[in-house]
Amino acid sequence: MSASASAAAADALRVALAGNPNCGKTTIFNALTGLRYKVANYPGVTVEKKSGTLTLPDGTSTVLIDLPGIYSLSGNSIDETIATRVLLGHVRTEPLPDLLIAVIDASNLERNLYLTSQLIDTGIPVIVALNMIDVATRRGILIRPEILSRRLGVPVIRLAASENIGLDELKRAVAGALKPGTTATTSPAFHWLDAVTPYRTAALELGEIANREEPPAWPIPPLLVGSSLLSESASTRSPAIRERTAAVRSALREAGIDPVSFEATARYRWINDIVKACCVLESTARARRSDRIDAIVTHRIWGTVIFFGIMTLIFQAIFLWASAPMELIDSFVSGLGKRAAAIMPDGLIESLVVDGIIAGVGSVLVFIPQIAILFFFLGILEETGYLCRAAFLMDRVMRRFGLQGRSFIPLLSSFACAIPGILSTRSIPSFSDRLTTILIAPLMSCSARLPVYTVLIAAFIPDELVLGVLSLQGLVLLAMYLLGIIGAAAVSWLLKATLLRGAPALFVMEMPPFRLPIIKVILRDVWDRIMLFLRSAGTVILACSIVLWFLASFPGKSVEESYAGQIGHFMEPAIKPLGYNWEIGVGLLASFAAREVFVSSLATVYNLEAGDDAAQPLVEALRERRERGTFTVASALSLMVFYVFACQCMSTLAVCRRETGSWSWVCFMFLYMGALAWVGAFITYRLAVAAGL
Amino acid sequence: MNLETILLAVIIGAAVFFLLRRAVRAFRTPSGGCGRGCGCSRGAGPKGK
Repeated sequence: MSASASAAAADALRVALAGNPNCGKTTIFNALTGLRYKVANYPGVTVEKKSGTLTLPDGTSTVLIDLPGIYSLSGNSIDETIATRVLLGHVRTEPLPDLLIAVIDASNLERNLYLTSQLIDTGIPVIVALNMIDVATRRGILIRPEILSRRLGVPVIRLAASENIGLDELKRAVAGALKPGTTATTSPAFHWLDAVTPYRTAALELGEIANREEPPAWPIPPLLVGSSLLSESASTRSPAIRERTAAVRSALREAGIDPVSFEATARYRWINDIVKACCVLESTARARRSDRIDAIVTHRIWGTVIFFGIMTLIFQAIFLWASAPMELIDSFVSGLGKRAAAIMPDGLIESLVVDGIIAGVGSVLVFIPQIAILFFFLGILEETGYLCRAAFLMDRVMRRFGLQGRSFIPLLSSFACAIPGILSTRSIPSFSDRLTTILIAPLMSCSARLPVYTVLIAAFIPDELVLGVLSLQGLVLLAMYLLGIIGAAAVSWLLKATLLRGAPALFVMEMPPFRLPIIKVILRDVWDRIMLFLRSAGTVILACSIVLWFLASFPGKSVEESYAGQIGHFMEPAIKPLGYNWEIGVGLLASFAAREVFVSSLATVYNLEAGDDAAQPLVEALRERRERGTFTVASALSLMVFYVFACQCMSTLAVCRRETGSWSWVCFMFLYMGALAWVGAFITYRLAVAAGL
Repeated sequence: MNLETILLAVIIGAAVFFLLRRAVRAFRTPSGGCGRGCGCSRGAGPKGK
């Protein structure tokens, strides 16, 4: 960014979106900025501050900030602290926002107004965005925004951001609020203290002192809230404010009133009056229907049956539905290889293109349909709100292994990729629970493992039905995912019993209402995942295929005598007990760059060995080796188990370093997962050999 | 050294450089970006317009 651009960015007005978790802040943020951050129907999707550019109707640009969801200004998990510090101006590099958009879930007005009243108290101008008005109407809740606006003393805009309703009006309101001369912070009126006049007088007096002593750094809710973050803020205030704050607090205590509980009681009393005045409940039929569904899907027995039924369906679909498009891509790739071989003159460049690039990258592209199906189903589960029910269901099980239900969402995110999973542990307040979750998150089978599992399953597991309906291949795939979960539970239990002792914290999670999935959002997510996969194929996998082609082609003669062959042979003593030969060793080593590289490496090595002009599909090459007895079913099962447990992802290690702030935990994670992978693969191989596979 | 060898050396050199740079960047990316450029919700994601 140039110096002038930086200065312009620093001068730009700043608008922050704040609100309770799962009230649609990121949906509004995406709609206003044109960005595409992840949204889902459960709390805790956003765990860090994000910013984008909001262009107002008059053409001026402002910085729009999306903050993690908070219930009040006194939260203490990392994501809550991030939001609170920005809202109270405690971040040195982040000026206080010029305007707050308080996003409210219209279907849950009462609870959402608690934070809104605190936001109004900060003195920063506030616009209330009454979001999900469509959901509220369907549930029979009618809200009169003009009354709400009058009682709160701030503008109220009705929105249904997912349907693009009310966004233009919101932009106009933002432009109006940001007009020169209207953005200065003001002393809040503390309307919620109307019923407690002496206390309100004290609060107002304190506000005046603050304005005089430290203008315009207003935020004074520390007076009323007892969290460590706000106390820290109080200690940095001027002596006059500190003295007055202490006097008010002690006066309250002497009167037998706790400042923290007093605040909640007084605010909710005020909020109840507002809700009664502006809200009409027409019907509760829909709410009852959602409760009835909840009674079934969170039932100890039926809920568990439904959960495993859904998981089985997903993994069956991954194999059954993906086969036709996979064959199409496969034939396209091999056709491309044949064409390239026919056009290009024989030589090293031709070998690099056909055996290295087309065979390597093409072998990975085949898995796009399976990845699309996996993310389509995950999207449906996220959008409907089912995932929170699954988290509730799993809480009982997870507590037995020392974890709390709050760890479920990070672990579930890790099925897509361990990186967002590890980052979302920020919503876990307990350090030992958070660290345990970080350390076991990479044991969840991420989408990068899917190509490895499916290529081995397609080549070594017979395509037959079990009980007449279930595909054996789909069941083996499900077993790999379950093995990761069981491994994670065992490691968690061990960690909580030894290194990270401590009882799991109480799990309190808001259940979002069930709703029909928004297909547009799901398809966009699937598209993003496919693009990410293609980007990975066009960068890391391409680069690895080129390097591996070089290592497997030189110094001439045969692949076995090449640099890659020598490295593979060097590894053999360590991998032979697991049933692997030097070729698999090369793939294992290469996949430390990214797991999918295993597939492309094996394809490159096999193609160079075959010496044909055209790229041979990897599954065919593997089946040939199975028939020759050089790659057995036992080795394939052992290899899959190795991939379930091994930590072969540099990015995961990097994000673990950043989130734990320690290299020791990174080394611990890498070593324990490596040991688990080796032992698991060894046991699997021995058992499979004993079973005659 | 013929043209084919030079071309191969350039391609392989570029691939090695890319992989090394990626490895270093993964550990250097400040908080707020996962360095994977993956577009995930909490990662580097798409940048502002």
